[in-house]
Amino acid sequence: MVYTRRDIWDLEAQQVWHPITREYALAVGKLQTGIPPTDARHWNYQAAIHGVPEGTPLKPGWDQCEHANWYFFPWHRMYLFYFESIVRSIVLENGGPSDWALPYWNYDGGGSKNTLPVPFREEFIPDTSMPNPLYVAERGTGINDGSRPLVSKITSPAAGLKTSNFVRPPRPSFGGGRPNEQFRTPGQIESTPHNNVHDALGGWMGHPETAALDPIFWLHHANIDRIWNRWGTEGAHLTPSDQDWLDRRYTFFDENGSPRTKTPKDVLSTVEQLDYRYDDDVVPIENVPREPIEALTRRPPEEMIGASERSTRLVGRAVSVPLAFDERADVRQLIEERVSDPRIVLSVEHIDAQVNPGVVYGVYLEGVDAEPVHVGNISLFGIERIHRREGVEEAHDLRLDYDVTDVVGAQFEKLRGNHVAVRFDPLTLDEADRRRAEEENEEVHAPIEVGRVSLAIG
Amino acid sequence: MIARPAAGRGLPAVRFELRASVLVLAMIFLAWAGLLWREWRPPAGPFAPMISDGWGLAGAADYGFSLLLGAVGMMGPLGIPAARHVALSSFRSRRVEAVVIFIASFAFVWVGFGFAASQVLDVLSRWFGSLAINTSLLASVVAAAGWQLLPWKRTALRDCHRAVPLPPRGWAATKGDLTFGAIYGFRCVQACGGLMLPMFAATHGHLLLGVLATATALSERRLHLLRRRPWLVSVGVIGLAVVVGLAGARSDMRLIGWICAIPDN
Repeated sequence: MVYTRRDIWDLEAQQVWHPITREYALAVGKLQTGIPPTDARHWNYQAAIHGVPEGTPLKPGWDQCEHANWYFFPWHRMYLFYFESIVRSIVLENGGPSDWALPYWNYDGGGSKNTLPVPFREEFIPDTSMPNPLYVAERGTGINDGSRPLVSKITSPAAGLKTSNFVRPPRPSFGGGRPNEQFRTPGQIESTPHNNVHDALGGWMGHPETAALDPIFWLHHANIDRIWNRWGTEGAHLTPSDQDWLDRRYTFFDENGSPRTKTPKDVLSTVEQLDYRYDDDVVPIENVPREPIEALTRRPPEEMIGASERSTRLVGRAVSVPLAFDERADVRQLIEERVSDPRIVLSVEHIDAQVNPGVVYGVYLEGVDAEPVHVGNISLFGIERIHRREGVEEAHDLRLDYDVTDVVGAQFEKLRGNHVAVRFDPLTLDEADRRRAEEENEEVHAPIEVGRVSLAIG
Repeated sequence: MIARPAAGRGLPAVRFELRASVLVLAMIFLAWAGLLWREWRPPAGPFAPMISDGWGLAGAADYGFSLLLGAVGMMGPLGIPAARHVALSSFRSRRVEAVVIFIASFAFVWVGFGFAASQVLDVLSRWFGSLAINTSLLASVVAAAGWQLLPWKRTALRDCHRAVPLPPRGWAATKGDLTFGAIYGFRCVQACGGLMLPMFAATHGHLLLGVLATATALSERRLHLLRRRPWLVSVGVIGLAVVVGLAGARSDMRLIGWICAIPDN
């Protein structure tokens, strides 16, 4: 049987507290209180698989989430798959629908879909005095009362869906960088909307160590998984053929609490390999095409043509950072050296913070068009993990890349002198904090350090 | 959209990619040529001159030059990824300058470490020179094995890839390359300095020991097994030292015994 994951807002439009939603709530409740905490299916155990605070003694399978690298998509697909199977088994025990599947939250679906679905905001399950397991008080201001919708700049996957390559080169990539490269580079969708939504929801969702404790986490990630599906099917894009990517093994726990192992090559087709689809799937993936590894290495590396001369500190007010250009560079010639698909890439490098302030910044390119052009966002979900002293993985600074090829167009003559700057503007700060930051010059959140901004031909 | 050039135009894709790596490899090659020349035609005087012996600045400078050759030749391979990062993060017009400055700064940190380590080990050999064992070599082996287990070594290995923002032009860019080279050098010493100690204490065979140390350091970077279990390298160092020590006791094992011969001074 192929299960269908549905948009939760569409379900709720059919029926308030649709049976799919209600059964999810009851199953979450059982996972939280109805089975022993030592059981791998327990709610907290499942959440700990994603992440735990530094220093927590680890149990099998804990603290393994993949972020800011190319395993992000397959790892979360596997994570959701096993979680869904656990929930479904409880739904069936409770006599719920046999075709139950995890819903997704399409916050970019228009209308009021950019607010937290209503069943997640109510403290009690309707017609009962039972506390609602889907309700979490630890969320950002305005989320639980629906007064603070998510803006489209942070929910739209449009930029990511236009990216043709799963892994660099060229930058930016859809799926993220290889581990142990010079920089940690999240893929386009991981940045926007994934990280942005985590930060905008705040509370537990604002940190990898607690994010999966919030029941909305799973619907958020179902949406991210749906976007990957869409990129692969409608866009006919290619996944890596690199064995390092295909054969990486991860262990989770099934509906019986037994350990199960999967690799990315086991989860390329949701229909063929995992028996689920999305209600808005157009074409099912059958034979997933792979990008030949040789094509990746033939491309010349990026050529930097401009960069900022000082570091920048983001503390709540808008900041413009001018770029200095290599006056001896011939941009037109550099572009012509790239035989196919030349790109102009804006990079924000050496991004660091001691703690995630939970604010999403918009990134704008100034000086190329009449008005500043929004090219992407910065959010620091998971930044604390860079500073972890445990583990053996190498620590890397964070870099975010934005494709500004269409923004620059043929206006190469503007890429010189002092014409061009990059502006950082907080998108999710409330008005009072914004005023304090702009007018009173206060630091309204934990500082974000940006080491450098650069522009390159890739 | 940017229009694509007509067919047939465009430079070979690999030209830029190779330039930075080739530059560093050329520096490593030249350093090795110098090291081998000095092995074949060694300068007069003790291997590690003590300035307090009155050997003088000329001797110290000569030794410093051999340390510089060693730093570039043996530690250069560990610096290639960072050098490539410097190249990619610099304007094309100052790329060669940026890489050379970075490598020089990186190498000078190792020169400083080499000076300090060789002086300390030489003091040990002078204090315990009457013993029937090469005390400084023994101490360096113990230190190399123990270094692997220190938390700062693991921290340095984790931070190996971290870079600093590099300003794009002018004196700030030069300063940035110098700073990054020095920081990278310090982290490298922190991670791999212990492995280099036996090379300074050995009477002969320094290059062989240096190559072994570099190979071990590169393996630690690449192999998760060694990163997760640093004691494996400790065991390897001690095991190798035991083998060499036992073999050195046999007069027919000339090559190996030659390495740990008691120094003449």
